[in-house]
Amino acid sequence: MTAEVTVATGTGGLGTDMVLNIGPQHPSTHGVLRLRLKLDGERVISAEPIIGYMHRGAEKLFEVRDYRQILVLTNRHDWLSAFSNELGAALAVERLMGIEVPERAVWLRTALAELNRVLNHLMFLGSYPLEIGAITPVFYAFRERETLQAVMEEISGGRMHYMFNRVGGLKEEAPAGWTSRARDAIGLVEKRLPDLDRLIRRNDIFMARTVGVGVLTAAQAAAYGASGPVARASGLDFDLRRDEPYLAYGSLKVPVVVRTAGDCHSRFEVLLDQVYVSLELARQCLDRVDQIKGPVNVRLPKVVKAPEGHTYAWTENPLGINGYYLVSRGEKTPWRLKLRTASFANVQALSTLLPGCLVPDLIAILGSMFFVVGDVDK
Amino acid sequence: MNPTLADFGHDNGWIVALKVVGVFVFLVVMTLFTIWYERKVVARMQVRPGPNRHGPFGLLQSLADGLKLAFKEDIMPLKADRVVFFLAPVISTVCAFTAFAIIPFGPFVSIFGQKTPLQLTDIPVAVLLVLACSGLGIYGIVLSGWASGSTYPLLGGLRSSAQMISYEVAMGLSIVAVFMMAGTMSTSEIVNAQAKGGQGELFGFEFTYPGWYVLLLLPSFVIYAISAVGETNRAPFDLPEAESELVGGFHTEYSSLKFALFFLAEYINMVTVSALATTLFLGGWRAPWPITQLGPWVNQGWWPLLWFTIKLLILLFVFVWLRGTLPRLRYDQFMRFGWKVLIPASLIWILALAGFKTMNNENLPGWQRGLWIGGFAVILLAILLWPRKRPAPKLPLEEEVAQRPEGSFPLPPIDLQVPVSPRAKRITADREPVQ
Amino acid sequence: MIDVSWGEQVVFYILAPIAVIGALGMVMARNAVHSALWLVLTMLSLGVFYIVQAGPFIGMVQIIVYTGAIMMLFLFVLMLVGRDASDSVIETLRGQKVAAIALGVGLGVLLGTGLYRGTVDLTPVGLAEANKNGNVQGLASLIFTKYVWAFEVTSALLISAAVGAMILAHVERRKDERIGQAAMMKERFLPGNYPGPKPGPGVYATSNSVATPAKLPDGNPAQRSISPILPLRELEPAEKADKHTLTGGHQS
Repeated sequence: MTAEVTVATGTGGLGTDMVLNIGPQHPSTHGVLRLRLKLDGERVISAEPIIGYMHRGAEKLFEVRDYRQILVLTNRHDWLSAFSNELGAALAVERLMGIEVPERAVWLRTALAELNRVLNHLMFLGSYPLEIGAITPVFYAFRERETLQAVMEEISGGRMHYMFNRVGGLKEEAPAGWTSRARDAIGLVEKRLPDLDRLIRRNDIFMARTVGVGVLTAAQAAAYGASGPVARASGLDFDLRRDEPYLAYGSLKVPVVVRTAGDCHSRFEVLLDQVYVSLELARQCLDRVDQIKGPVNVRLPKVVKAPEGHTYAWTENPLGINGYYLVSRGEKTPWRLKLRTASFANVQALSTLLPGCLVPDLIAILGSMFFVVGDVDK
Repeated sequence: MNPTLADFGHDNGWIVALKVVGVFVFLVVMTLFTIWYERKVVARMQVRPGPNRHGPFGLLQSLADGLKLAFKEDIMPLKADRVVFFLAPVISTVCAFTAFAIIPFGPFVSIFGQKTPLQLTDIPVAVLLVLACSGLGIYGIVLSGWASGSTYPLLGGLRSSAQMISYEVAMGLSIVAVFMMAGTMSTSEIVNAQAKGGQGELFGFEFTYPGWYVLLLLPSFVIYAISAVGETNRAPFDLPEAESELVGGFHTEYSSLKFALFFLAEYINMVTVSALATTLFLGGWRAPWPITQLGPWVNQGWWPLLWFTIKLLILLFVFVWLRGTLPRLRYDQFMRFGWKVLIPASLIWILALAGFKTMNNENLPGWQRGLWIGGFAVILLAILLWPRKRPAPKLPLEEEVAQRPEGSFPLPPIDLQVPVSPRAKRITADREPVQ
Repeated sequence: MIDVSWGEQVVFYILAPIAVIGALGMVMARNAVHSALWLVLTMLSLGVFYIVQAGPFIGMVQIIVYTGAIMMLFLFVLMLVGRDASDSVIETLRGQKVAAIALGVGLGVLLGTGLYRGTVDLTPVGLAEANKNGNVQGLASLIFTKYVWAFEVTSALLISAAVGAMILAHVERRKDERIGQAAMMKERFLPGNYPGPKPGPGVYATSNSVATPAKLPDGNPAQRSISPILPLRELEPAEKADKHTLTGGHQS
């Protein structure tokens, strides 16, 4: 009798790796990013970002919309920096059509772009500590967001998808007294932001979780095409606002916040310091807006047709470089509008940042890459 | 006339039953209250109002939530181990309730004419019962993680078991100092031992020291407080249920009443460790100093229940405060903290305390005492001033970049000057800055 | 016979079967975790027995140390092993099961009768004296005075066993061999490796096929941009011909 008896005591399973899917539904991927991990205990052996759960075919949709309608689509891929997104598309079309945007509109656009940057950064400044386990900073961040949202809502009517850019300028003139109210809001935020700063930036546990975790060196950031706060935290000193100025940045002194450590904490710090810088820039722009009289848009023909040709307009979006490559054949729709998004490039670095770290580190790194899934999947 | 160990075990059956029901009701009400309290406190810390819809000040919010939970669908995962999956929350809750049996609420009271201590029972090893119950309660968490048959709960269960083993050691060691001072493990007698301060003599000065062990044994209290947070899985040590990492940790797959039981157990554990801290370190049910000046009545009858509850609520506030303030530790940092900081610190503190007690008790000659203290100080200094290996100096970034091997990825220098593109030049030239 | 109080008897007759069932269940259970749980049940019952027999300290220690810590470590390991892990054991000796059961029962009977004969006429004395100053205090004074040598030797033995187990299980790894995230990434970016995502195939006005390589900045085709599994083929003359795309289809 050689019956095979199976008893469950053995070490048959020892040494096998656990496969864990973080996402597409997971509280830390804010969206539908999916990471397929191989774990050895809690250590990540390999990580593969799987994207595309939110692919909406934005580029294909651009090709069947006229240039006015495109702006609606462009502000949706990165829903946290809607104004900057539509700005890039508008710039591309204006450049191709040779439209000179009125001075007042340029300065207003710059102010709004900076406010949008602050709104975007505040979102991450709140959500990142939340992922590390600190539940309070998010409410402080959102208090400031709410203050600025009110200003943005007043001028544009929207809280998220502003749709305030038009080809050739802005949708309409700012309401009377808006600039002073915006300045007040900026002052208020500047006054209260140190609350958030003191609460989390130097917190011992926060430092223990983020310093030296998820190190991305400058070379690697460059190799992956990372940009924005993520790249600047690694020492890649590149900011389009200073290095290839668009809008009114050429006549502003833009301080670029750079760190060299390249870890999660420096990414967070870049974001935090950037907020101070952007608030100051926005205030300067608002001062200029008050001095300039004139229209905020130009009269467009009934049918907007970009002449045949191509152009690439890139802007320093809150999350990094956002580019639109516009190819026109002289029709009222673009023949091709290629979209280069910041998050897409930044998320690439995950596959090298994650292996070798622990699961809690993974969350810390994921949060510090500051991506929006819509911006990744387009 | 305060209750001692000998006063227990003489109650009527119906008084015992009454006390059991009393403790049960106290814990359930405390849980409901603590949930509201936590949400309200944390809300005030986060510049928002918190629950305010149900009942006055939203007090009935947790009752409503509890009822809601009861009506939720009870989900049993397909891959779950059915029996263990069911047992886990039961174990958690039963252990949580049992631990409270030895917590003294007050001195002798009269219940329907029967004079009885306001404490369910007391045994010579009462404090160990709490440790045993918290140790068994973790089985609930670990088993729920295993029985759910899915990855996140399993990771949560694994974390929980390691966490519990480590922090129970630290917790037990921190309590040892209390045993040494009180000379007993029975809770009622530990409370008695803290009733009066004593006369001490240090370097020729005589002074009266207060009785609360939080003052006498401050290091123990600190270690107890830290490990209590770890033991109850509360932030910043809430690794088994870290929701941003493990979704829900061990209770990811639980719903309905089973989930409610975990919730109940977590809050009761919080109340229990707070009550134990009150009993061991904060003088138990005795009124604090300024109130004792009002007269002896403050420590008699039912009044002590009030002081006890107030102390409890203050400790619970600290739990909530921590949760509102601190981020979560990483797993390995947390374990390292337990094993390399808390436990050695406990051991050294116990050793120092034992040495101190020995020197006080026996009449050592002065020179010998001086020798001991001197030797101790030398060892301490040697540890503190031991030379450390210096870390290699960090190269400046430029040199690090220059040292990279041939053929590395091209990297722009940090002070890169990007030439202004002709297009941008044209735009800026066209537009004169407005003054 | 020994006088046993009524309460003690009740506890015994409830818990003794549970302890035995636990022990049997531990042996019989197919699942390792279930086995461990049955063992926990037995240990808990034993702890209560100790308490009932006026040894509250040892009872509590049994529950805290054995049930709380040691069994938890067992569970920890079992959980790491995995739910479905199992060993296949082929019965190599014929009839060993029967022999083992017979011998086991025999040993049990032998021990049982031995214990019974040894204790049947015994009158326990000295419990009250031993617990005179309290159970814990009595135990402590014995351990730290009379049996301090044995106690220290036992603890030294246990510690050396623990250290030995650690050395045996520990895999020595030099510090530079431990690969963390930063080191892994540096390695990946060493010259010769290509760390980034490969470029997509070329998209041109004349073709956007996956088989068309993208162009490098110097105008050469980027070989990385096409998948190696695609077969190479010559373009047909029609495909090679100028499509006049840029002129809108008009031949200029």
